[in-house]
Formats: sequence, structure tokens, C-alpha cells
Amino acid sequence: MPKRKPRAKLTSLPYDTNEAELDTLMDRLADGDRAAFDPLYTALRPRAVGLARARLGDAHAEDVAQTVLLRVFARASEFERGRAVLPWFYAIAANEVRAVARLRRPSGGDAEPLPSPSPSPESELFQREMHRAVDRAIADLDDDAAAAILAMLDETPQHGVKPSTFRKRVSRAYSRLRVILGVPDGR
Amino acid sequence: MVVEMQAARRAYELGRMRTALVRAFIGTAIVLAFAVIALGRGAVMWGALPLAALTFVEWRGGALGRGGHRGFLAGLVTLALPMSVLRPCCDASMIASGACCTMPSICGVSGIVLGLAVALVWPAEKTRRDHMLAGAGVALGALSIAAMRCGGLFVGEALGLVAGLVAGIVASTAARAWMASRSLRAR
Repeated sequence: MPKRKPRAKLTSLPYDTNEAELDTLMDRLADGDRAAFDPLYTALRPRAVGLARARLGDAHAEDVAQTVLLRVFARASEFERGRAVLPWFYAIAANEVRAVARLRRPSGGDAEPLPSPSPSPESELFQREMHRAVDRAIADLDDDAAAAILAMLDETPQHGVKPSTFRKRVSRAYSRLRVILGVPDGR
Repeated sequence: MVVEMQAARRAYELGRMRTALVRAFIGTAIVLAFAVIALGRGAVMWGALPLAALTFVEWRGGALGRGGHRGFLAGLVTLALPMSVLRPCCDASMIASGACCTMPSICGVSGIVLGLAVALVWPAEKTRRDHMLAGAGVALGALSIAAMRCGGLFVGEALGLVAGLVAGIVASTAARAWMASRSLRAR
């Protein structure tokens, strides 16, 4: 079994609320404590705007971020207490942004929206936070599934594994990852 | 941003209500299955009571929700109480003598014992207010299902059972709230 390559150490993020506080706030909100709503909204909004801006550009970032937040808060009561909130949040947010991007793409065009030519420091930090959230979700997978996902991302080679077996492993790993992130199949 | 936050809050409340309804329907289906076995088909007409109570406590969540779950289980216990306990005076000879059901106090004692037992086992809340909310949840959950049992009893017996349950829950809630406020003061 190939050893998993650790990601580079990350610097702290410019957001006021740290991840442990966010987890606590989300636990409280999922439990029905309405007092946790305002600080959580204030903490998640810049992250949603950052994601939308990074994927879709400045033009519609605010609108898309609001759509993302509506979706996230509509599902807040389904949040499993005791888990990390950011992987869950980014999973929902990325799905929503992808759906909006698909809708806004000109018909017949298959290309992804072009990334910004020079990403801002805020956008870079935001990308790192998202990578860390995905890393935490991958860390919850078993070794085989994690290795398959990382190999798919070209981080580790899969020596001696038949392509058909590898495809099955990747498919199973993505299914498990969806369960961990709380994203339903087919989304 | 205020308008967006209000929209997100509405989405949160609607999401909670949707989740609450799903859970309440499942819970009520269990109660009805139990009630039909214990009391007969007539109990189905009382199904709206546990459905409304469960939806409310699930939607509000927090201490009220936790108390409501305990009360729900207590209510199921009232369905399981045999008629021989609730109606000691109503055996065939008593009915024949016309002195049936002159001892609703027996039902009251059953209710008090049940109310005390249930209220004493629910998880400790951190504040006095949460204790009171949990007590209200226990009472709401238990009474909504006990009402189904009462549908099969005579008025005096039903009042005895309900009064006993309420007395037991109120006494235990007050005692635990008092103990919680004392331990808070001690800290």
C-alpha cells in the first residue's frame, strides 16, 4: 500500500472565526440553538463569496454565494453533530456553484469557466482552506479508498492494479466520500 | 446583507420544519402501530396529536427536543400499561355491581410513578431554563401519546392518568432545575 503524501503545511486564514468555533456553532445550530445563526452566517458568507468568485468571477459572486448559503442553511438541521463543518459546507457549496456554472454556460460549450489570470491572495488562502477541508474528508476514508482518490488526483501511483479494478476503487471511494461529505448521489 | 440573512434564516427554519415533519411522520407511524396493537384501530383517530407535538418539538429542537424524545418514549410506555393496572375496579364483578371506575386515583398513582421515573432519567441540562424547556418537552411528548391511551379509558381514569403524569413531570422538572441552579451557584 503506497504511503499517502501529506499536503504542505497551511498558514492561518484571514477569517475571524476559526474552524473549531465554526464546528461548535454548527453543532448548536443543528441542535436548534437560533443564537448560533448570526455568527455562523457572518463566518460562512465570505467563504461562499470566495468560492463563487474563484469559480465564476466577480460578476455574479454575491448572488451565487447567497444561493449557496440558502442551500447550506436549509440543510443545517441534517448536519451530523460532532463532524467538521467546513468539508460539509464546501461540498454543498461546490455542488451549488457547479450547478450554477452549468446553467450559465452557453449551450453547446463544454469548457469550464476560465480561472482568473492572477488569483488574489484571499482567493489563494480560500483555495488552501478548501483543500484542507477535502483532505480532512479524505482522511476519514479507509486506506484503499484514500489511495484510489489520491492516485486519481495524480498524487500517488497505483502500481500493479488493473485499470478496471482501479476504476471500481475510485468509484467506490467517491461514493464513500459523498457519504462523508453529506452530498447525495447524482449531484 | 440584512435581507440576505433574513432569507437564509427563513431557509433554515423551513429546512428544520421539513426535517421535523419527516421525523414526526416516522415517529407517529411507530406510535400508531403500537397503539393499534395495544388499543385497537380506534386509536388511529388520535394520531394527529403525537404528529403535531413531535413536529413542534423537533422543529424547535434544543432542550425542548431532547425532552420531547424522552416524553415520546414515556408515552409509549403508557400505551403498554395493561388495563389491569389502569382499571383495577373494572373487573366483571364490579361492572355487574354498577360500582365501576370509582378509583381514578389508581390511574393517578400510575401516572405519578411514570412521570417521576421518566423525568428523573432524562439527560441533565446546563441551565435552569433548559431544564424547564426539557420538562415541557417531556410533558408534551408524553401527554400527546398518553391522550391516545386516554381515548380508551373512562373520563375519570383518563384525568387521573394525565394528572399523575403532569404532577410527576412537574415535580421532577422543578427538582432538577433547582439542583441545576444550585450547582451553577456553587461554581
